[in-house]
Amino acid sequence: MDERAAPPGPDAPDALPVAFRGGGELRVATVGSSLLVSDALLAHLERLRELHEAADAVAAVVAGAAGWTDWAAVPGVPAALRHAGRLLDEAATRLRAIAERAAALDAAARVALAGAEQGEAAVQHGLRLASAVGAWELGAIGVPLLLMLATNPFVLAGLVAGGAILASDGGLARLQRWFLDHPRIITSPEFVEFVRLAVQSRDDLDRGARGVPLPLDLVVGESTAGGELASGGAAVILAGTAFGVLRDSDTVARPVRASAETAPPRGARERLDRIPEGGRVRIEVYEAPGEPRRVAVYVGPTDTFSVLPTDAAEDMRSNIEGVAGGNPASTRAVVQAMRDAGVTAEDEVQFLGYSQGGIVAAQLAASGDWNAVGLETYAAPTGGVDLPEGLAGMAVRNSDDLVPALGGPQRDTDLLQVERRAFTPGDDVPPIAVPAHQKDAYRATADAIDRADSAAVREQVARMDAFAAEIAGRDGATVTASEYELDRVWQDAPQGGR
Amino acid sequence: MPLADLSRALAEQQLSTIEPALSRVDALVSRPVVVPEDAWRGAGATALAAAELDLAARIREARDLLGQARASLRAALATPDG
Repeated sequence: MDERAAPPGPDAPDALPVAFRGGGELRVATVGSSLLVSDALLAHLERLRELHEAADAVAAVVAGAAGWTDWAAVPGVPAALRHAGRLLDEAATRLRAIAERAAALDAAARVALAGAEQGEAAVQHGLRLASAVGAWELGAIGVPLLLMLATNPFVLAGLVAGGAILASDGGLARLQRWFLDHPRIITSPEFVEFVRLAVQSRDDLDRGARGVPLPLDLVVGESTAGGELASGGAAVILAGTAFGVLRDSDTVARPVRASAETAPPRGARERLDRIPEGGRVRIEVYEAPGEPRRVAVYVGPTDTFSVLPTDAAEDMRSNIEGVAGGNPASTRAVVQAMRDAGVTAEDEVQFLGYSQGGIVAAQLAASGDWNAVGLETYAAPTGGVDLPEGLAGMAVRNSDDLVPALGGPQRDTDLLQVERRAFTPGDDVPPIAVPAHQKDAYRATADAIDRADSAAVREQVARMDAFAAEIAGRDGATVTASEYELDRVWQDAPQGGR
Repeated sequence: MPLADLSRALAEQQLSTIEPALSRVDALVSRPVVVPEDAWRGAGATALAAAELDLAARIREARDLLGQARASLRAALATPDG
């Protein structure tokens, strides 16, 4: 019996809105690899390997049985036995040939994949190089040109007039409306790739503007890969705080709800659905006599995109700081919630999060402060987070969602990476902001994960399932769930609500 | 031990060994032959599909040989001097 969760039917209570029922195939990069291949292809390779192993094992058994007695050498043996002996010999030979052929096919397919991985790496390197050169040129030539134009009174007057028209005539609203009416502009893998390369090339632009020679820029860029996020984030926060926005504060985790009992989640979709709304964290503690305590930490997404001081810890500053590898207020507040819930460094912890919650989850799993055994993130820009080896779970992103691309390229390969296009070319894209980033778009991807064919994906789903289910199924087990609001605490400024 | 008894004992052991082997090969015969064409694309998918069909045919042949061997062993055991 197939024990995987069945996808919800169109009339099921948790069925997805029609707009999110399309999408593409699941693509997977296994641990240690950066090449994304389809789930179906991985499953095919796994079937070839299973065939090789099964045929090899049966051939050994049959060859052993055939080799017990050479009936032909024994006088007076019935003809049927002699015939059976010959048939067993032949069957063993054929089975060995099948095993060898399946192994050769499996190996050939994997060599082809390795070649594809090298090709993909070369393409990515080429794109990165082109993007670095483009950004450097823009910095070296574009920035001085812009300064020259901006100091020209005629150009300056034109810019001011254009800006005034845009603002006074509802131009900004019309621009926003235009983007909403054309959601395919930002919902395309090409645009997402552009964003990823732009993020990666920010330092090249900076070095170009400062007059660093191009060859030196490229060498420096290779050796400081990943640093552009930290430096870019720091620059934005520095500039913001100078104008009174993007300010930092103390944090607090306020308990808002607690329940005595909850069933363990089963499958990626149930885990994603368990992640709370923005600005909250849910902590589930699983205990059973004689077993180490296990804790699941579900971190919600961004609460407010405001750059002004508010009560929300999961705000824009935390987004920028999190992507830049800093210690954002959201992460600090989740740590406070975990401590309040009694989580210790010895407890086994599974971290889960969506969007900014995914950044927090990945940061805590990578921190070394907790006994992290699992991590499952959705829509999170965590490409630069250096994770420990051996974590169960996966990083899930829609390839047409630009938010994960803001974290730059995926550098860490210690966690299974799963991608899926939320909207394929024939699908209707709903006119909402960043459609592929919506939780419903990720619910559809989680459903596809629960239906995955490859063992690579199914094993990780099973490991994540087992974490809570193993404890919850024991005699005397208790499960408690608490939810906290993640807040900022201001000493010197009026609180701005959420 | 008389030769007839020895050969019968060995034949029974062979039969009991190849029965589970035959079940495993039966399972391989019913293995779905699926080549994800979208993933492999073009000539790669065609070549893999041909190789998969060839493997499936070879597995059926091996299953038939094992089936015949089992029938021969049963026939030998069914005869009074087997």
